Amino acid sequence: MKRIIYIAIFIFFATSFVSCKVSDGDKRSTKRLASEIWNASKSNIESVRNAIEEVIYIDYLLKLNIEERDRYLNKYFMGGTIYNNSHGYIIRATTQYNTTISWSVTTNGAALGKGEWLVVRTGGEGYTLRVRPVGGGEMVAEFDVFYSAALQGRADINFCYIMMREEGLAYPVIMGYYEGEIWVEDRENNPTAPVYVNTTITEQLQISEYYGLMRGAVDVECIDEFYGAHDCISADISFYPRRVDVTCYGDVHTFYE
Amino acid sequence: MRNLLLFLSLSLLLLSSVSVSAQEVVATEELARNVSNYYGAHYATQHVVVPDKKQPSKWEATTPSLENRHSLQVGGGFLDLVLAAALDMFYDEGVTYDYKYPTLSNKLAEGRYYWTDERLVSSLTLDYGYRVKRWLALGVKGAVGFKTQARRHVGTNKLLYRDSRVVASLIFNMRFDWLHRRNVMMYSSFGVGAMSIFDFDNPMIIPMFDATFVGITLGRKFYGFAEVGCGASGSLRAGIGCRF
Repeated sequence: MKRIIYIAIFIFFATSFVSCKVSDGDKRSTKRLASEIWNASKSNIESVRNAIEEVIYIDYLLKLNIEERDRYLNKYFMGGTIYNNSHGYIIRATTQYNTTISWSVTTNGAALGKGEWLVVRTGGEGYTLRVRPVGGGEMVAEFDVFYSAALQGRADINFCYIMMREEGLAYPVIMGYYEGEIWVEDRENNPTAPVYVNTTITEQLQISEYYGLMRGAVDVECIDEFYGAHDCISADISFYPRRVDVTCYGDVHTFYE
Repeated sequence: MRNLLLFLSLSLLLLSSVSVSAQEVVATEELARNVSNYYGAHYATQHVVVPDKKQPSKWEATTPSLENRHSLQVGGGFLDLVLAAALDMFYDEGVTYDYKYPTLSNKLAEGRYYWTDERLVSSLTLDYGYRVKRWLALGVKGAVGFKTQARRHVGTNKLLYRDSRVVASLIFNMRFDWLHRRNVMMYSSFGVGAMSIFDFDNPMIIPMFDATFVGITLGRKFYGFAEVGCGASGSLRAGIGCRF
């Protein structure tokens, strides 16, 4: 028995003796993961925000007279053209890459916030957006789909906005706040194992057309079925100073934007 | 009275015949051993016949390491050029990014997983030898070495997968013992065999050799050894063994 113990001890030390580190690995840090998840979520928030702002632009456009419309179309709709149809309006524009984008707007004869609107954008990042008022100046925006075939999403957003005139700007800018949830399903990497990025706005997101995301907080759940991974972050956005504090697996990382 | 005399005379006759017979066996043991098959079977339980023991020669008497023909040893070795090549140590690309396209899943994976340190065990050996002559032992040696690196989750440290490269060799060995002392033996050896290289998806078998330029053992039945050589077992080797 003693001999066996000696031999076991020897083998242990011999193995330790001939075992060595040959190269350094990565530094273990959640910073990059936090950054990637936050950027994915932020991109989705921005997409939703852009879609809602486009609807607000259309509403503003329809309130302008003919001369101003052309100037506004040039500035916000790539020099597109607006057509009337039986349900509302169609705006068509061509991008610098010769992609035709059209917005089909069903207004039901009401201004935004007064009745239900359906906006369908085709070409580029398409979406179907239904907006209806819920009272108190707030509206609900429901996205059925946006992005592309490999990248789809849904969103239920309560939003409220005002148009503010800023000195030196020809047109008023949009300021508002958003609440709700955004679910995005990304199948670009693997058609059968998508990545889900679910963003829940936990504190009203204050958004300015001019400054972007200004204040608020979100929880983001990221599920990657390909790797069987489930990661969560919380992000606090502040404007002064302009930064985001992201909590990921207990670590807090600050990103200045 | 007549009957009593008859009984006494028969008893005397019987006792005298037995004692004469035993006396004869003791006196003629050498003779009986040569002429009688019956002798061995009959007296085997009473007489232990010790066979003649050949006197050991001078070198056998003074070198306990030669009293046992078999040897078994385990050990470890440092990396040499041959092992380094087999373990693919010359191609150092550093930490690589495995993802061809910057999809969301791939970008997240780059942030989610990290590479641990790359570790190497250059050579662990198991060696059996059989001494066929005073100066020559034939045997077989198995050696295994590997390097490994893991990919783990940055948050939970859970293992995603492990990259490993394992080299395993089987060498048929000839050992030439050129110094025998009571507790010390020195030798050189050479062997050839095959090495299997198990990579992620690329198993292959290549011819391999193992050479010991100088080796020394210290001890008798249980001993320690140290060697300088090259090949499948590495460059500097050490270990323990036993003779039986």
